[in-house]
Amino acid sequence: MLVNAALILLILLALSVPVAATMGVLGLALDQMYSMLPLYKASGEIFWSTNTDFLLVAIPMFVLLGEIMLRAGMAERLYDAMEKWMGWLPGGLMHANIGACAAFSATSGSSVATAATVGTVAIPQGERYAYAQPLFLGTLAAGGTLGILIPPSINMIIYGMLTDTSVPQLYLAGFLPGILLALIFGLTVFLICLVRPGWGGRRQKSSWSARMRSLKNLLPPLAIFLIVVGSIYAGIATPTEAAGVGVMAAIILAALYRSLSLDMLREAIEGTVRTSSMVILIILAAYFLNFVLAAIGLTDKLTSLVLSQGWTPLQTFAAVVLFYLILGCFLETLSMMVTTIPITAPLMIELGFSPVWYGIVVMVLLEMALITPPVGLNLYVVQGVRSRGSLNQVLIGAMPFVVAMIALIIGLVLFPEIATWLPEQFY
Amino acid sequence: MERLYCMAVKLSRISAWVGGGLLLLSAAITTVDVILRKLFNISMGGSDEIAGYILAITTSWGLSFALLSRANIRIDALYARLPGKLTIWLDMLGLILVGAFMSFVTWFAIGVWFESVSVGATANTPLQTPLMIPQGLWAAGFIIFMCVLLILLTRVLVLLWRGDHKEVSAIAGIRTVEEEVHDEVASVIDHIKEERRHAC
Amino acid sequence: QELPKTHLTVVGTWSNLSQYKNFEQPFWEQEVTEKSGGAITAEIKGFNEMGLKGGEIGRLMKQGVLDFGSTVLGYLASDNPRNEAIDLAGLSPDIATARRVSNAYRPVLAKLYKDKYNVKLLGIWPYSAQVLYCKSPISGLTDLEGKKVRTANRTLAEFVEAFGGVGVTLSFGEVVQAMQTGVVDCAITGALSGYSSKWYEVSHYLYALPVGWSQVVHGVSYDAWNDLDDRVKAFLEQEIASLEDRIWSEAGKESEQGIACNTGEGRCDYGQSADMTLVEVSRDDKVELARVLDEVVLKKWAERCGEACAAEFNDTVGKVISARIRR
Ligand code: NA
Ligand code: NA
Repeated sequence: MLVNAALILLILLALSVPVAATMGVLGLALDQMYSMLPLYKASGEIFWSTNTDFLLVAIPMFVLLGEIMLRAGMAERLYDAMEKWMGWLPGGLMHANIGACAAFSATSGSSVATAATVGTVAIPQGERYAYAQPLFLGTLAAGGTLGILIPPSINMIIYGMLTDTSVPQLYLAGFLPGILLALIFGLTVFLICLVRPGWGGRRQKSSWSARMRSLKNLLPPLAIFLIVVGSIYAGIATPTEAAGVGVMAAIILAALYRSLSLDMLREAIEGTVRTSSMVILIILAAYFLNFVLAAIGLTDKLTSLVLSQGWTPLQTFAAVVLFYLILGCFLETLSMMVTTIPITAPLMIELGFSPVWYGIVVMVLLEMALITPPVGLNLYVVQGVRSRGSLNQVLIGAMPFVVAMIALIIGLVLFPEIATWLPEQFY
Repeated sequence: MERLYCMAVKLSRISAWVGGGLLLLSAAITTVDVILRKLFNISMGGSDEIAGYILAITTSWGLSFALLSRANIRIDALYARLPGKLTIWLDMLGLILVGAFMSFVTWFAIGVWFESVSVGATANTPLQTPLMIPQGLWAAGFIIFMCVLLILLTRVLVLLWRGDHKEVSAIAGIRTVEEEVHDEVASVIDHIKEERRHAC
Repeated sequence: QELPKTHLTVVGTWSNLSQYKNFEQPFWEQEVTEKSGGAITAEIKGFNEMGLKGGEIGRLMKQGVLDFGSTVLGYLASDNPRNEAIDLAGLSPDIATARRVSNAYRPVLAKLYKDKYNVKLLGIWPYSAQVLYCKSPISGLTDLEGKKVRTANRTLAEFVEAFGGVGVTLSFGEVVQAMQTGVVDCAITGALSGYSSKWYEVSHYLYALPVGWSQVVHGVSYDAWNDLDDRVKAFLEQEIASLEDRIWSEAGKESEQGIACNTGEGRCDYGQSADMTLVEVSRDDKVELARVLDEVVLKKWAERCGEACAAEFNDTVGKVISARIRR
């Protein structure tokens, strides 16, 4: 049963059948093969009750928020400020890349949006100042992945929904690891540039007055961050409500910058509907598949198979990390989450790991998946933004940051407090 | 056939606008609710419930637009290494399997609506929403999707018959990253060029 | 005598809550097998483990997707308001009343499920006493005026609004944080489950009167039931009835424990007791409660349930609590 299910899944995915249909058809096939009961009849009820889940409302809201901010030109202004403040460091603009990605992550729920937005602004600058292409591109691909670790985060919302974990707690837990990872990225650049000063490009030194003037460019993202994340902890809104309020705030900000128009809004809406209805369809199909898996007892089989190996919790954890590392090379992150979290999360929780802590580890693993070939969406996004040269440059440039992420995971194992300390202060 | 396809494109675009408009409306309702609750201690009650219905309707109404803009998430590890003629068959297979699964979903979504109509179901919330209204709109979105899918499939078959492989890839193939990013950032690039011009 | 070999699949309630862990799961996975001498085996999953919300259970059983199933009665209320009848806000102030009310109304529910879902009703039991947790001081129900209260369903919302409160809907997971930061002032949940979820860290006043019991209904689709051997049927009915008894008596203890653990008034067997202030039910409160039940809760429910439904209520539950719905 296990083998058949995995085989069908892999074959359909390899044949590039859309992920939503893959999961749906797999569900139907397993129902046909292994269930006495007509499970397919539940598809309508499951689709309805999942599709109206208030938590999921955050997904289109974040997509819309990102579309509006992008079209209002907030990213360029943010990058400009980062450039003025960090351009003098060894590694120069690459620190600005990471800083801008981290700052933008605090307003964006998605990694791809972060990489695309910051990349669009940064790549022309990198070419202008003669940076070694691979590492420069790598900072963008890797920096972009911070989008899902630094709150807000669509992936944390989905994790919270799949595992019944509190989203505000996950947000709090992601904070320190997110900042820490940004610092590790910066350190990585710093060390590489010490060894190979030629990769550093021309440093930029800005006057203090220019720096001070650039600070106002941080205000719009800061405002969005305070509204989308701050309002949750100030007791004004729930995470989902905050995303909706963020959309309205972005529209108002865009209007203040005179970039709001009906055309712009229409484009933003079309982009939002296109992306989010597909993403949500995948989640609905995954819920149907999970229902079938649970009903035919496959989930239990898999869990007991792992538990029967007699591994210690730490060994099991290492196996799970390895599993995600390998899977992450081939799978898109959303599909990977919805197919595996319902199985691995209960397992890890049963072994005594905290669901919030594990959620953060999963986020870092997903970040890794975004920059490991052959299927690494952020690599493609960055390559797509520059639209010339070889993809290999991006790929090589991102590798040091995979190592940085592994370092963070080891850090999370040795010092779980990195993730759990902040939520504990609040709860 | 061409005209039918163009109609499908228009229909899907309009239904995407309806969905997206509802989404904006939902963001506005949520914002008003949050502000009223914080400042005046008034709860409109049920803004979350309405947001849930709107999400469902936006999803199902937006699906046909997503299908025609090839927003389907597909793994291209093998696909990208195959010659164009072979990928067309993968595109066909994908469309057929999407259709197969979604016809189940559509059928049982209509079933959900029908059940609610026959028992007169109302939400167990202060709003007591008659569920047949949001469920009906929701199921209608799937029906639109199935119609558009059938038109797309027919057009692909016609094109195959004519041997126009390039056009098949263009309407049913996997989007290349260049296309993806172009959509994502086109307006920004324009915007940057605009600003540069002003700067110089 | 020997029972024929039988394998059953069961969908239970929330798998993360104590009722599932302490009763449903051991009952189906162990007790049934042991008591039937190994003849009957069963596997159970909480509906949340299957990605369900609980409200679909009735419809899925009707479609033949599930055999044995449990769900919280109130979750089915969108299909028919009769599913609210025994858990209307403030209807049963103590567990003895709750049980008598449930028994009195049982034939009505049995008929409803048979007609609407093709389901045989096997048992009704409570989740736990639903009590009010407040962050700011309250001395009675009238202090709810102007407070934002998280309510999970329409009858509780109507109840809160009758006292001048504002009903806010939030998912369970969002409550602690919402209460801490002041998105809501009060919230309602089980006496012991609020203790386990550490609600006492963010709220300081516990109102002792249960406003509801969140009854669970357990049933089986007639398609599956009719296929069973008669001896198996008899065995299951007897065992489920005894399970029902045990859950009711445990719920009584849990409600007392919930109050003891949250407030430190009495011994707490579940850990360190918290120091919430217990707000006793005053005479005035009892009078107010009866008035709101009569003038608001029952009246509004009868409006959505209809004439025949109100008459059924008067003939069953009405006699137990000596209240009547007047038209
Ligand atoms: Na983020
Ligand atoms: Na990857």
